Amino acid sequence: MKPTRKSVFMIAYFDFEGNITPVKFKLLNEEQEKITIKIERIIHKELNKFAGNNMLIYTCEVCTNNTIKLVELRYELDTCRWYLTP
Amino acid sequence: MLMGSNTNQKIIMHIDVNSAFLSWQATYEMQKGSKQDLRDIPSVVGGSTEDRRGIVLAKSISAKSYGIVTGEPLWKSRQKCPDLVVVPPNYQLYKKCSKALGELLQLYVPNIQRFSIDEFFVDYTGMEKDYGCPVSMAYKIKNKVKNELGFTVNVGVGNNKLTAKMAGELKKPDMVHTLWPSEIKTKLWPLPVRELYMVGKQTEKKLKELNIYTIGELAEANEKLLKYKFKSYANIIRSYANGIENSQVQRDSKVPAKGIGNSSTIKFDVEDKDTAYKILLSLTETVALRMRAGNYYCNIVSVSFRTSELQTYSHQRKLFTPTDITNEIFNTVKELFDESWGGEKIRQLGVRACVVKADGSEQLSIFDVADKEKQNNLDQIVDSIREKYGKTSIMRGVFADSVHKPLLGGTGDIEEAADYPSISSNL
Repeated sequence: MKPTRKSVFMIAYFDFEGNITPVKFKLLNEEQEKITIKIERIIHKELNKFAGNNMLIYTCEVCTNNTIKLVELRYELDTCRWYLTP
Repeated sequence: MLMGSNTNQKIIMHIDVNSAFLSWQATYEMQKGSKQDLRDIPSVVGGSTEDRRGIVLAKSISAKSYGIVTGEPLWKSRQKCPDLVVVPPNYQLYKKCSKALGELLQLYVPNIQRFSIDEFFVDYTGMEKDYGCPVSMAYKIKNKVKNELGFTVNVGVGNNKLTAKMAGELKKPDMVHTLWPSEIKTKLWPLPVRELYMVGKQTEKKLKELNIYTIGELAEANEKLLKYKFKSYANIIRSYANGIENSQVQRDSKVPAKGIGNSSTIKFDVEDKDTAYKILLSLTETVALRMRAGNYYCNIVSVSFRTSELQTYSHQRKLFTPTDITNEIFNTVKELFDESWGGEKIRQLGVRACVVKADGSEQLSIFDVADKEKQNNLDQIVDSIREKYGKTSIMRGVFADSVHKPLLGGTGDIEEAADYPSISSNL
């Protein structure tokens, strides 16, 4: 089964309480070019514990090509990796 | 208060994950962002066909409707359903899921017992006054698991571990069933006798010879007749059929092992003795390591192999003095293999040891190898290096640059295997 998520290079804030706030991320587009996308607004944040795997899910608003889009960013606590799900 | 659940009796719940390996994999895939739920399509968890370990380990409910059964070869399942999705097993994930489920149950009930990787017993006795009736608690647990961990469980409620387990098996998935003493006649007795815990294929056959087809018929069968056929085992199955069982829910219950064995199906057919020896050695290493980790000695060693024509041979011998030294066990393994192998092509090899708990004392004999103490120390050092730096951190010279693994068999971490008991015949 093909994974539908994409690994991304992320810059995020970690505050004193351990809260994580994603700021911007880099990924490869279809033409294999690196593009940077800034996160405009975090709409929702939740901790998902499915299959015993802790994952923070952020629903965010981003602006690409002058259009505002909703994306889902996932942070896997065990591996410290960020993923983008379209 | 619910009918049948009077205060003098225990209240036990049995929590069982529905098609565990598959639903855990499905939940994990969904969390990764997959849009397709493996549970909704014909899918199985299976080994790799190239490595010739292609059997079905777990199946989805829609795969079941194609007649796919657990344990059959993958090519057979593909014949039944050409669009079958096969996913490889992932034991690390299963452990994680099992741990998460245990932790969740711990939030509700203090006394829980891990019965196998996907089954738990929970003792709810005396808690109904403060936490509500057991059935509503069972629903609460079931829904919490579904919402929080993403997979479904069956919860069985009864007055002992046996009735709780039998209740959990009644209808799947995502259900709560009760099996109070008053319900045994209506819910348990009409089931085929094979459904009863502890009744397997062979017992079923023997029972059918006595004209016993359902659990009810077994419960009412003549005691003398059963005793004649099954000896002391008759008491167990007859009381189980009547819903009688009174073992405790034990935290960290560790039933002492009677035997420790490992086997492995090899990617190619083994035709020469040297290769067979290497594989047997790596299996012996695993068995001996597990034995020493559990503080056991072995007194009987057995070797088995399966030929490419799928015929199985096994040969065993009682040791003169019990031992836990890898080299000593391996010497016996070699002898046994030489005596039983006639040059056939081999696809699977296995080593097994019947074990006794070491009590600190040891029977010495004048025929002992002279350097027994040295060998013992060597094994201990190797074990401690492996514990500290990983299984493959130290290996025998024959396995350097070889295609064979230095330790064969098992599913993953030997150290952790003890925490996840496999299916047991003792409740």
